[in-house]
Amino acid sequence: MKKYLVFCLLLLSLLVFSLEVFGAAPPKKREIVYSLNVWDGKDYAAPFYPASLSTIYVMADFENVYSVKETLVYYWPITREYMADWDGLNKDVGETLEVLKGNQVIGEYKKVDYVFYYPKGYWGGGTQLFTGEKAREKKKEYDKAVDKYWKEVDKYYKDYYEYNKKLQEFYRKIQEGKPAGQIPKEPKQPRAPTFYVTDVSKAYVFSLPVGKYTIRAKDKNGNIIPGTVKTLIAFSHRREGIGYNIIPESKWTYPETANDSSDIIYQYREGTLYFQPYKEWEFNELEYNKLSKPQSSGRPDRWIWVHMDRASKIKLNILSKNNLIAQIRERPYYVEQIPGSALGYNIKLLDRKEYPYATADFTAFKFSVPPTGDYKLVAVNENNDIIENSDRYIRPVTVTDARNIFIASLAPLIIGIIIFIIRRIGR
Amino acid sequence: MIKTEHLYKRYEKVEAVKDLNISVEPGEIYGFLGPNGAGKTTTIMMILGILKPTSGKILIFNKDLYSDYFGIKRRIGVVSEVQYLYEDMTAYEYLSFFCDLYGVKNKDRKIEELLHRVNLYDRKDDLLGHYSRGMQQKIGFVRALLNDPELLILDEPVSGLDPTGIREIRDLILEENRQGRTVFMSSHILSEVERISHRVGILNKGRLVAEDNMENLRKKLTSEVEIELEIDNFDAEAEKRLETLPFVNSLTKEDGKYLVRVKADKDYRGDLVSFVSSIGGNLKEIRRREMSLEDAFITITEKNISLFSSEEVTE
Amino acid sequence: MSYRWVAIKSIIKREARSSFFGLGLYIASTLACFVSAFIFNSYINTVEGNNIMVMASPLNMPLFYAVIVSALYTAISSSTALSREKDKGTLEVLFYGPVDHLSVILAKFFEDIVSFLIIMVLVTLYFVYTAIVTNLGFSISYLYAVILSIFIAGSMSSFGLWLSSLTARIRTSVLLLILIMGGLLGLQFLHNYILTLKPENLSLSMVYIMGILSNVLRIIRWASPFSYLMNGINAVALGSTSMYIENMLGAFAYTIVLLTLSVYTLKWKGVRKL
Repeated sequence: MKKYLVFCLLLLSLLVFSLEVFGAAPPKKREIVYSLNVWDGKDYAAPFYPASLSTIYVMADFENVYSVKETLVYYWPITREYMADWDGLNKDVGETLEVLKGNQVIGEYKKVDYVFYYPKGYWGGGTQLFTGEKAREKKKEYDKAVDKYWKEVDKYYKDYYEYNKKLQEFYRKIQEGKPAGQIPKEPKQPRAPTFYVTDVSKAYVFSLPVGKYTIRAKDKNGNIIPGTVKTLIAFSHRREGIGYNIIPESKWTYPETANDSSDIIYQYREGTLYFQPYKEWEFNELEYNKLSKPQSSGRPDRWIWVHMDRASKIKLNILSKNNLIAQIRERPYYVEQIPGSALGYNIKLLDRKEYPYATADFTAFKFSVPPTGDYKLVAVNENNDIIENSDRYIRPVTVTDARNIFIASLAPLIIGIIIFIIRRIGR
Repeated sequence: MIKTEHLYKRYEKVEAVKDLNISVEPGEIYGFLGPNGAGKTTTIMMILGILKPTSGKILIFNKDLYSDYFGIKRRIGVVSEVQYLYEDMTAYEYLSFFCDLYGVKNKDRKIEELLHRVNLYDRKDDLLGHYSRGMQQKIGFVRALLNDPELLILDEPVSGLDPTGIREIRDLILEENRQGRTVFMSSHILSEVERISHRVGILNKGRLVAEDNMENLRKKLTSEVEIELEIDNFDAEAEKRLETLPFVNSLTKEDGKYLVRVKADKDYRGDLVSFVSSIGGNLKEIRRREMSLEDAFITITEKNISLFSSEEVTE
Repeated sequence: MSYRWVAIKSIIKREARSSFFGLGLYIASTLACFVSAFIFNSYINTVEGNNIMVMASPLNMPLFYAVIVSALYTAISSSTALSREKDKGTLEVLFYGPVDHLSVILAKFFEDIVSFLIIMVLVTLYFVYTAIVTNLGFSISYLYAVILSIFIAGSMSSFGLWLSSLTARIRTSVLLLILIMGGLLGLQFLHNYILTLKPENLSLSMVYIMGILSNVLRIIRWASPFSYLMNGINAVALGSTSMYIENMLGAFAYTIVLLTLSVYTLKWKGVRKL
């Protein structure tokens, strides 16, 4: 009895202790971490690698930015991941970064100046990385553009002040019945630079061919900094192809995607589909997921297609039983809302001549699927050469009464009962 | 045909078979007699390789079973007390399955012939689940004969059958033996064994207590006579003295009468009369009863007597 | 042909005949088709509701459910295969003849595969009907999935046979199967829960328990036929050839090991009606 009592008390204290630990605020810990800016095929992502992660994933043959930092790391239970408190501590660590292939050092990198150049603004995409002198030039160019803009803004406000004054003078003269002359011309508001360049920072910038490497940071005395030795996997895509966003005419706000050639596009009866083709690359899911979110998971045996840019200068061929039945081109479309009690909308081809000021809601390749027959879609370039991995099958689904499907599923039982009865009656 | 040498089978604390040495000769019907729980079925299961002996050796056709497992099994036919048939099959299907198992050629002809012999041909397409106990037993026999076995092993083959069924099965066994098959038959019914066996081995509590032909065995088993006494003035002390008389083997009391088993070498009735009067008893009746083979069998199995020696077997 | 193969062939024939004339096979096939009918119905609803549906191999998902039902039937059927015969005494009678432990186990195993194939044929006929009626069409991955499912059924059957060789009563076998299935699923849930926890949030003792549990689950991954089933389903869904082959070989090796174990267990436990 005593033994059981002791055991129960121990169990209880263990439980209480565990609960206490569960309830405690996340502690912050000083750690040497890697902070990266990696190319993900479309843009630069900024993953961070806490000490607990031993492998870094980057895309091969693209320049990526590596920083070794000392920071405060804590676990954020809501997103179930480690976070860096950069505001609390953000200290650059190390002087050189070594890359090893096996035991052989194949690269030794010093920190260089770098900037990110956003030609269409921060959210516009098409980010470019510049290093060294070019980085500094880009930054100067940006600063110059910003300076120029502020000067123009300054001048604009002065001009606007003058303009207001002139305008008031103009109205006063009119009120007094005096000749006022020409109405003052409003000054034009200056336009801010559409591009953006980050501050010049220092980091290790280099690209690597596909392979598995080891990286480590060294201090100014050439000693390896503890906690900086990590495996680095530089990976590439497996295949290239064309992926499609498909907008059904009946539900234009619910597009579907067909990214793999094995994907079949099922269409309900006859209807119209709008195809938006994208260049796409096929990556290993684990590698690609880890690239931008190192603490996420992925399956090493799964491959995923990632859309890159919109495919341009292509046409879509529609085939039926291997015969070309239509070749379609990309066109702009707009959605016309139907007013009144009927509600709804119509998708219409945007005719620039007819509506010169209208803007397209989307551009796409339109295909009206006939009610019967199977069709194949394939993208071709300007020379009518078929683009690999661009083919998709389109099948109209025959919607039958669901009861037929359920009733048919009972067929094996009916067969069994017949066999059983014949067997029993026969005896 | 079958030979066991110092065969033992032990289940945890129980010794089911002890130092069993039997030999079944070609062409004979060997009756393996013993009360329920004597170890007969255990012995048969060991012969068939279904149970593994704790120690000892079994030879079938002068070979170890595992030296040619399938070859030997194909030369044996087995019938057990209960047939355990596949009740979802018809008789024909069932027998056809065993024909396939034994690799019997011309199986249709064979099945037809055997079913005619047991008068079940007309029911060949009936499900076995619809068969009576006696019919199932016959199907068991047919199954055992499909492969023309050289050796038939029968475990309580007539147990639970009605007299007609018993006779039919008995005739079948004798017929098969006449055709040259060796039969090894276990039973707890002495009369059955007595009728058809050439030689009998009696197993009791796992030990072979007798083995001989029927004639010799009868002589050995009936070496006692039973004398019924009705006495007045016979107290417990007197009973004790009667039991210790040198020619008295056992004493039991039944409905107020004393049953005294004495040796059969001479008539001891005079000695008993003298003894009763010597202790002042009033003998009202004395009657000699011949002991049947059945009684003798029960006596030796109940008292655990071995006929190989005159001594009682001690556990 | 060796005497053993003659015995195996004869028992398979008998068992197959018994299955063919019984209702179990047809009930399992119907359940498999009925479960997949719900998936087909959801496809139709999706296409009808959204006007479009994009899918690589639409028959695979319903097939997976059909395979789960069929494989469970195989597991239940094999887990009672020997215990039922022991219970009825028919196994003992088989051993009077030229039949040994290996031949019985192999025959029962192959019969399970034959039954599974019959179910797959019936399911495929139903799928053909549905694919034609709805114009969903077939893809080669359906064939791959069916081939893999045979190996999965093999591992299920060998697992069931092993359970069956351990027991002498139908009820015990089924209870044991349910208990083991429940236990394995419970451990799987526990494992999934553990994966969501981070060591920082746990006490040292909990981390230690987690470590042990994690290792136990790693072993169970190889010891449970259900993990081959789930991995197989994933392999086809992902279209991963390496995973497909790995799973096929794994299921095959598992089957061999479990069948060997069943032979020795049957020898140890005996074939007699108790």
